[in-house]
Amino acid sequence: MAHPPHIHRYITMEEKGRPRESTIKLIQRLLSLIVRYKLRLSILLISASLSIILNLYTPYIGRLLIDQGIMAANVDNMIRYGILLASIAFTGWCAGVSRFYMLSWITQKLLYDLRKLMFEKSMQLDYGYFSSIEPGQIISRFTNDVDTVGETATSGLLDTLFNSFTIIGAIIAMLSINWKLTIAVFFMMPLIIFTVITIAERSRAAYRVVRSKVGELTSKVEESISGIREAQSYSERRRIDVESFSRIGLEVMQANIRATKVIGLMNPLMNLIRGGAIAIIIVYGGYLVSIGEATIGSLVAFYSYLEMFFGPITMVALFYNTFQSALAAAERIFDFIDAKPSVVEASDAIDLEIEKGEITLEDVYFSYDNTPVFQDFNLRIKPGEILAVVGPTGAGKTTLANLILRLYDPQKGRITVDGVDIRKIKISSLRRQTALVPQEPILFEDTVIGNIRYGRPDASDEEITEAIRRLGLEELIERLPEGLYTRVTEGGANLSVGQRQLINIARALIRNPKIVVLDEATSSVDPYTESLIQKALKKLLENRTCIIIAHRLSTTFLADRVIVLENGRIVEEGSHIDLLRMGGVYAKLYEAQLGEAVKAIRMASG
Amino acid sequence: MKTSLARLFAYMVREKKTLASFLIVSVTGIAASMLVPWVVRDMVNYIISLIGTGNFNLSIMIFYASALVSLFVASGFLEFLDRYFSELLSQKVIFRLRVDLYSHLQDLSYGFYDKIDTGQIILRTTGDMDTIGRFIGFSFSRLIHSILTFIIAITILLSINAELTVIAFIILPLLTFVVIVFNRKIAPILEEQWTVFSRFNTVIKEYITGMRVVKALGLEPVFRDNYMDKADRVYDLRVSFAKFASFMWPSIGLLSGIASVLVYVYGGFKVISHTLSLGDLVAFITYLSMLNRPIISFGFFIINYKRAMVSASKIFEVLDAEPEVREEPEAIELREVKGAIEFRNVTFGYVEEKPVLKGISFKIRPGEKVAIVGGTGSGKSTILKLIPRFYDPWSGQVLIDGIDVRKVKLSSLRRHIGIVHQDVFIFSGTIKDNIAYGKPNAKMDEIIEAARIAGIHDFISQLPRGYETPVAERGITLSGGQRQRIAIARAILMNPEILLLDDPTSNLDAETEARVVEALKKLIEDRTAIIVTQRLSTLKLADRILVLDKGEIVEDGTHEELLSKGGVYARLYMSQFAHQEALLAREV
Ligand SMILES: Nc1ncnc2c1ncn2[C@@H]1O[C@H](COP(=O)(O)OP(=O)(O)OP(=O)(O)O)[C@@H](O)[C@H]1O
Ligand SMILES: Nc1ncnc2c1ncn2[C@@H]1O[C@H](COP(=O)(O)OP(=O)(O)OP(=O)(O)O)[C@@H](O)[C@H]1O
Ligand SMILES: [Mg+2]
Ligand SMILES: [Mg+2]
Repeated sequence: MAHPPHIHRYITMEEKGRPRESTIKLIQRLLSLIVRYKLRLSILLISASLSIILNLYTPYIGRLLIDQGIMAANVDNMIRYGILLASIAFTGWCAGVSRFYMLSWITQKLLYDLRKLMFEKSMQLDYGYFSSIEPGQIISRFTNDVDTVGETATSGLLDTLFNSFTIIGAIIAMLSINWKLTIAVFFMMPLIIFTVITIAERSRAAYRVVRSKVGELTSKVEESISGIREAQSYSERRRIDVESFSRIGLEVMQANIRATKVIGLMNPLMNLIRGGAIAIIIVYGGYLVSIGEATIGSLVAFYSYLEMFFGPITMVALFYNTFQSALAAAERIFDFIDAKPSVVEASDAIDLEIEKGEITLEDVYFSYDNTPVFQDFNLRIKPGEILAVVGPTGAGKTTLANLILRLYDPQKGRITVDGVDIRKIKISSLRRQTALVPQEPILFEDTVIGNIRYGRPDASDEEITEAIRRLGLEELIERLPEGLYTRVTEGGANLSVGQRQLINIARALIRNPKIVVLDEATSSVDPYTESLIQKALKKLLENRTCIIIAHRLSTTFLADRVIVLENGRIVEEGSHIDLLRMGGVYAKLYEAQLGEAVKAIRMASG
Repeated sequence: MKTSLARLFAYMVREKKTLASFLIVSVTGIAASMLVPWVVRDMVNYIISLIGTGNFNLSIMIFYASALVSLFVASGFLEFLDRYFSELLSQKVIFRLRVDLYSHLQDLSYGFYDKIDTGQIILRTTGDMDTIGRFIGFSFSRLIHSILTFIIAITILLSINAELTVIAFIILPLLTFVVIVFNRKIAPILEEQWTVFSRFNTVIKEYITGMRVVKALGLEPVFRDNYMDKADRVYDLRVSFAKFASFMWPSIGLLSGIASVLVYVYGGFKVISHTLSLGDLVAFITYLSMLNRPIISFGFFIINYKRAMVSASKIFEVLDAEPEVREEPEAIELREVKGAIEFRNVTFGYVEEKPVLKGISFKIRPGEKVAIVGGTGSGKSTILKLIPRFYDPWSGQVLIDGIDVRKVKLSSLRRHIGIVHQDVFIFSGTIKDNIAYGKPNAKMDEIIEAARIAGIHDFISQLPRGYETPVAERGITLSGGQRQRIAIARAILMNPEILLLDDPTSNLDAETEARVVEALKKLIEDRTAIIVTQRLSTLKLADRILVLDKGEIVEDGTHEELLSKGGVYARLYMSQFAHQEALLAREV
């Protein structure tokens, strides 16, 4: 048996080699989202400006209080300025409360909107997109990435804005107090810029390492926990896993410490520059005071403004670093939001009530990557027909199901239902009338009955019980600790594999679909239960078109027609008996699986 | 039970050197920065004495200036060290905690994982660790600073002027009150946030991992409702948290603003009445403003502290979980295994009072191959899981070579047993990594041999990258049958004396199955094997068949014996042909 050649797609976390959106673009996009909250944003801007102005004003009043109140021994002035200071503090409080609240509100609203946008996007994206990226990667976009944007982006962007205001305000204030001093101090400016830029660049590189190490750690944990049952089956694994986890943990630690060393230099260096600036104030300012060109109050005020100048500059510089990770996260979110679905609804798509359920595949070409699974593939499934698809593993049976259900679109050729190209049918309309039992049963954290109800959300308990009864599964379900109301844990871990499959079958049938695909739906179910289901299916599938994919050939008896798929080609087709008579591939498969038994029965029956 | 804080603290204390260095550096650094206003005060007084005199002495000014600059340099350097050591401390604690948690997770048995959501565990090893890291590396060091600054500043303030100090701290009780009220309000919100957020994660995880069914059945609207519901909760909780938080910080600012007004005015009077020098007042105000930062960072500390305690309690909750399957202290090393397996009156179930296996007994001789068949959910996989001790029976014994498995070291027990689970798990990495999963240093020809027996070698070798082909986490690009055979190869590579195969051919086509069965037959010639299967063609591997029905072994014998008996097995067996028979009848 030969397999078609493959190239496996493998997309890693740091998707590489794609053109990146520029930082400016990303910031613009974030801002465009924030700008929509006009009212709160204006309140935020007003209250923030107010608190900044008041902050800037405080040292000035303090100076007046000293110069005109205390130095002049003027009690009236002193009390007046004291009251002024107190009312400034109170107004500052109001502005502060509203500033913090509006900021948090905007941040949370932004996160909420991003999450909503992403979900809406996920509804449009096709299955192919999700199967090409590791689930963990997509999940972390919805959770970690969104929060990372929230932690730094909004508050950071706005803080930077305010910090720049403060810096400008402080400069103006210093100029107005004493322009000579200001200019003297500004000889430090090139030094500041140089320091900020050098450190920012280095720390960005260092933090990039941190991020990638943390990503590694997260995937390691993710995988270890999901695969823990497998891991515990291999006694050596504990040591190996703990060792490799410790190694990654250690690398995370080292990367963090390296980054801290780089960024930790920022403060001392800024301090050094600040020290220089203060030295200038003292020497030069002291001189100015001594010749009567400056007052002592103005010198103290000048000093406060200088502090107001250095604080925000350091913050802006630090922010620039943390902002990088927010930008990376924002980029991953926007990537997702911008992703182009490859299965799209035509603008003139129609609502089709499937009457007959006739399916045709015409000259279909399909490949997941570059090696075709199907080439010039043709198949016609008659209305109400039950078609069995058998063939070696990897032949393309599941792929065929994917195409018929339009989980993927073929690259060439077309697929029709009742003569209508499925690309011309509204996706929701098609989905409503089709059902799939996947090869890997899928269960959600809900009760058993809740899981079945996913098939038709408005199904009543009675309808579901009735469906179970018709499938002959009552007894099996009753054996569960709480019957239909047993809670299913993550991934159905508390159910046997066969039980998981049965629930998936019940879920598909409760939909009342016109077209059903059963992909190895009973591969782990015992033969007796399977025969019960087959008996039931015979009735249930009347007037429905059904594709049964199965390796177990006892399953194919139901079929009106069997096709044998090999390497994406139909090599044999006909009824079960015709194929047995033909003595080809199918007969050989049958012989291999059931041959001896059939002989035994034949002998027994005469 | 110690509180989470005490336990976290114990982790910190273990890093003695780092903690001590951090404390020393902190104290020195703060002392250095405290000297600044001192120098400023002298200087201001000096400058005041100059007013109008015009006799400016450059060398004295330069002395003051250079004293200041060197203080700045020194305190900057100390600040760097401070940051370095606090980060080191936090990283070391997190590292220890992470490794402890991870190792503990490796030891917890299946029973634990049956009950917990993996998303919650992942949240604990990542998000919660970060929260704690931030707490130790940032908030804790800030707190130490705040306290030290506070103490030093108050001492200095007192030494400058005791009266003013009292005035300045009149509002302290108010401050304490604000913090306490805040504290009480946010604790439940943070706790709930954790729970809601972890549920939110679960919904997304289900939605993304179940995408095949979601898309095929058009379930997006159902999930949207559920998702938006959780997203709403997350949003609501965070906004209500913000309500409290946005009152707290400005309030702290307001209180310290009022304190400084009081000092200005009161101090002003004293300067006017010549009981205080202006330089002292300026110095006092400078020192007082030094307290602003520590007070505000104390506010931050409160929030981060609460957050960290929620996270720490979640982590310790897992660390405290006892594995249900535990190694006895006097457990022995199982060296050579002949491969006899015995179940002696074993009763076991997952849910209390609902036994799945009811008093099962059977014996398997060394080298015997036994198949277990039975209805869906009858307990076949459960029997297999009891042998490597993934669970312990409620009563009765499981014995290997006559030794109770509970008397044996877990790792030595599992070393002799190879198991192919019914649900296959493919790890991210290459195909080679996946086959060599239990034995990463296996030689290439061993790996190829295992792949050959599992019937997957031909497929792998015609991939462009062969054994080095990467597969994604859940093996999404492999077909069902391909994954199953990789799992078989993985177990075979271990060369175990006992091989447990749980429905190993369920996703194989008849021809592949026949070849795999043929190869396995040779492989297990002199090993003990238990095969659970629904496929008659795979039953060929076994010498003997055990039939399980409703948790009891109802039949035991060879295929022929059981068939002629006309019992449960015969029914199971014949039902495969129920319809074929009809067809055959038509055919003849
Ligand atoms: N998402 C995917 N991306 C790339 N290749 C894929 C993807 N899914 C399947 N393939 C490959 O396409 C081929 C056909 O796979 P398909 O799942 O249709 O096989 P199958 O006939 O259903 O096999 P089985 O009986 O084992 O389930 C296989 O070789 C498989 O490796
Ligand atoms: N981890 C678990 N927690 C709770 N109940 C469980 C768990 N695993 C299995 N069960 C229950 O125990 C019973 C026996 O399950 P088991 O997996 O042993 O069945 P099985 O015979 O292997 O069935 P199948 O043929 O479908 O694989 C089932 O009813 C199942 O719901
Ligand atoms: Mg398939
Ligand atoms: Mg099982």
